[in-house]
Amino acid sequence: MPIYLPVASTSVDALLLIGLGALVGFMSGLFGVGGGFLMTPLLIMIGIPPTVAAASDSNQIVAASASGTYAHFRAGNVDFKMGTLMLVGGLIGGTAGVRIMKLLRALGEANFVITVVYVVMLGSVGGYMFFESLSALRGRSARSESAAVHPSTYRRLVEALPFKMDFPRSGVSMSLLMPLALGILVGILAAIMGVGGGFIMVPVMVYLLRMPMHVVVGTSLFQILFTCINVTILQASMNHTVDFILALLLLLGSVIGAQIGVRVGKRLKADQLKILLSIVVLVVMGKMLFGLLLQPSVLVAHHGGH
Amino acid sequence: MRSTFLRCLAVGAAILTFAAGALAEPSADTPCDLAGGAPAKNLSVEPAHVPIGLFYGGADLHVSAELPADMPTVVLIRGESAPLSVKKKGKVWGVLWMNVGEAAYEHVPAVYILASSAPLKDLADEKTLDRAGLGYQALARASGGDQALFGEVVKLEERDGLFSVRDDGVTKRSDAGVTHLEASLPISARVPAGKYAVQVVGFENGTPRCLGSTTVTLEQTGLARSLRTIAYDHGLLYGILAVVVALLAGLATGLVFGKGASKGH
Repeated sequence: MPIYLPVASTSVDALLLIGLGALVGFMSGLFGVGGGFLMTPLLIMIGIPPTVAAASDSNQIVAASASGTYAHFRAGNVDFKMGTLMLVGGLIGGTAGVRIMKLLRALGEANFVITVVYVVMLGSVGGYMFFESLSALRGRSARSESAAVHPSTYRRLVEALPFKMDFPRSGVSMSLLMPLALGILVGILAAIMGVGGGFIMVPVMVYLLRMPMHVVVGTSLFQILFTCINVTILQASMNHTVDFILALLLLLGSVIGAQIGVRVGKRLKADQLKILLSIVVLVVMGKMLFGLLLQPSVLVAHHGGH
Repeated sequence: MRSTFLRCLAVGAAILTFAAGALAEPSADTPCDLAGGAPAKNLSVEPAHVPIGLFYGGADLHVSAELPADMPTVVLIRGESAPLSVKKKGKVWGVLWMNVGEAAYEHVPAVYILASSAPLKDLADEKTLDRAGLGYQALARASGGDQALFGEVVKLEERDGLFSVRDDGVTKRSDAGVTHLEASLPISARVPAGKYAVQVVGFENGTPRCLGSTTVTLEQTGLARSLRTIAYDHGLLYGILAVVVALLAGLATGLVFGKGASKGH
């Protein structure tokens, strides 16, 4: 059934959009990622102008992450304290990232640097998660014992930081500077790469903040919700690139997909979740790498895409 | 006194020159800038008004006319020309295909949909087609930009449904000494709202003649139009409403599923 998108000025199949929404919403509920890194390229592929695709997708993520956050909140999987600190860091980092991006563009070669950083980032985060979860699934106990005997330099550094705070929901205790600083770092990276940053945020919370995987998913969704509210309102008021009909159809699918994702997530072990997410991240990296290595069918593109 | 009079005269002349220049500019209303031949009769386009509502998925335009003689014919829908800038893709360090710069063109039509009764190259020589603005080659020459890359711009516009050149879209049939023309032109949903010129060009011994022109209007209507107006005129309000609806939809689904989940546990 064709439906006309008034801001994108194009027509697409309504059922296709609902289906795409459901797929990405499912991953959002399961892994705690916004899914923009998957959805935006898919929308561009079906003919939505790049700027409208990215802006409308953030509107859709508001719905999916609200749906997912609520479900995780009921299950007690949202660490509001940790989430708020990282969110504040993320907003500061995002603003700084946009400025850094401008500077990089002025220096030239920015596209090349960004693309390489993106692919390397996806590859290393995905690869590390994959092998770590794989070895954890094989023999968890031996590894954790050795970690307890030899605390790493990172651990000692973290423990030396001032402003200690308890995060009972995550079962950790650390300086409030940690989530704030890591939030800033993720915010900078996300702004430079033009993505929401959920897929960097999740590994950061798991490996650097040592939070339990299920709390990570809920807390990540909580942050994504606020980031995307901010982006949607900014894009709508400054660039007029939010297509409400497009977002509405996507969110019809994604709110339900997110709920199913949360339920499936409950049945999986943390390491199974991590290994699945790492596979998704590696597949996205593989697709990007292929796109960079193969000659594109059209050698020009409209402005506004990646 | 005399100098004031002269100044008035100069200003008047300038206004007239400007007005004449403006009239000479091709626009949707003055489409055929070719010499006219004996005109086609009963030229019509169906539908002449295309409403773009919420369930619009593009349209097929049917052009019909009675030709003055049985001659090769081209039917063209053309949007206004405007500057266009695109990103160029090239190899970086001999390995990676990436955006490597920009290509700028001065005149590229927003829409270019052409149907002809035979391949354009069989109708006239290249120079004639260029002068008449018929075919992609003519567009490349008039573009005022990198001609070698223009083929890629055409591919991009064709993929978006804004350009199309077909040599099988026009049929002619003779009936009691009258040649009837029927043309079918696909309008993709990507063609923006606006008024477009529909030109009928006939070829007499390799010379293009304007046989007539009419217009087709694409107009957003109903909810599609209202939403677009709010998005552009009241961006902040639109953004806030979009977020509120998304939040409500997310929370409502959460509540519905939440009830089911609590029963399950």
